[in-house]
Amino acid sequence: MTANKQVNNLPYTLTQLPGNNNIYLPRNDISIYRSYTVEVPLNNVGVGAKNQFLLNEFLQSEATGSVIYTGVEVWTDTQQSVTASQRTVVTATDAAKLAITLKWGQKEIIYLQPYIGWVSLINFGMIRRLDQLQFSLSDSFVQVLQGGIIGAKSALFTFYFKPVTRGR
Amino acid sequence: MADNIRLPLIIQNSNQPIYRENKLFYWIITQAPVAGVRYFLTRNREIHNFITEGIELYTYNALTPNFPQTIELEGVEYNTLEIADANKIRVTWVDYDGNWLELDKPLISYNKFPSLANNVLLDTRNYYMRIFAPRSYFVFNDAALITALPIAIPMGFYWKTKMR
Repeated sequence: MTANKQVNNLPYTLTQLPGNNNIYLPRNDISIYRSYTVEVPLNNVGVGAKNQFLLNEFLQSEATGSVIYTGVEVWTDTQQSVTASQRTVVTATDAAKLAITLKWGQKEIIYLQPYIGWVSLINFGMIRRLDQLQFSLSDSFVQVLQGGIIGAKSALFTFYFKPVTRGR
Repeated sequence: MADNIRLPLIIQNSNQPIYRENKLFYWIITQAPVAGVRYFLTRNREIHNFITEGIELYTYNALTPNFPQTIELEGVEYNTLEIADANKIRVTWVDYDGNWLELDKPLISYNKFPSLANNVLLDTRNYYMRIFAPRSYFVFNDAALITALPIAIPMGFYWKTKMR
């Protein structure tokens, strides 16, 4: 059974799968101004290993606290197959073995957050909103909690942020 | 997912801005892409100096089609990007001054129907960006596409105000 539906002047054709209901979800009420996608190469996949964000000039400049973070989401290979550095993004199975720690200086703001919980596209598209936090991504890491991750892989994050100095 | 559970949800809620205009644009791929190369969006120059409030991607899904498999544009037939290829592309939106707004964002994040089963419709996320299309670009993480050439990538933009 299909139904045509006009939403926001764009046509949608919804197919009702047997036994399933289509679900419409409200958006997060987060307003996206800017975002930055950054990977964490899992160079060490031993249990307990801490892997850091791939450093680049943006990370080095934001480490001085010039941005505040309003949201975050992470990805598996279903959403993006390969990173910019050509490493395979972690699978959903790998994701269940990872935890995230985000620090601001020496303080752990987010501590051992299960990676899988921030994969927005398997959580109804919900971006995890942050209450205007600051992080030192250069001090933060992704920790491996369980062995069995095979191959040169990366965790992949998208951070939503806005500059500290401006109102937007 | 249980059959009889339907979350009490509506397409438009009070937090969603009222869009005044929206338009569907197509980005065209006519030659075999190369991974790592920036493909600038030289067409659709209307997408500049507008404050974009919503962005949507549409793909073709053979299991549960919600967008045409082929599109005719100016007499040429294009194949809609298939959902299996959506995870091979990242996009960077840039403003008129050359500042990036969203850097290396997975393209599939804009997909209205992100899953193969098509049983979840994501509402449009709430953006507030002044995109300048000619400076924005796609990059292929993986250039081995399933979709046959030439390819059209349909993306819808919503905006509320125009700059003068």
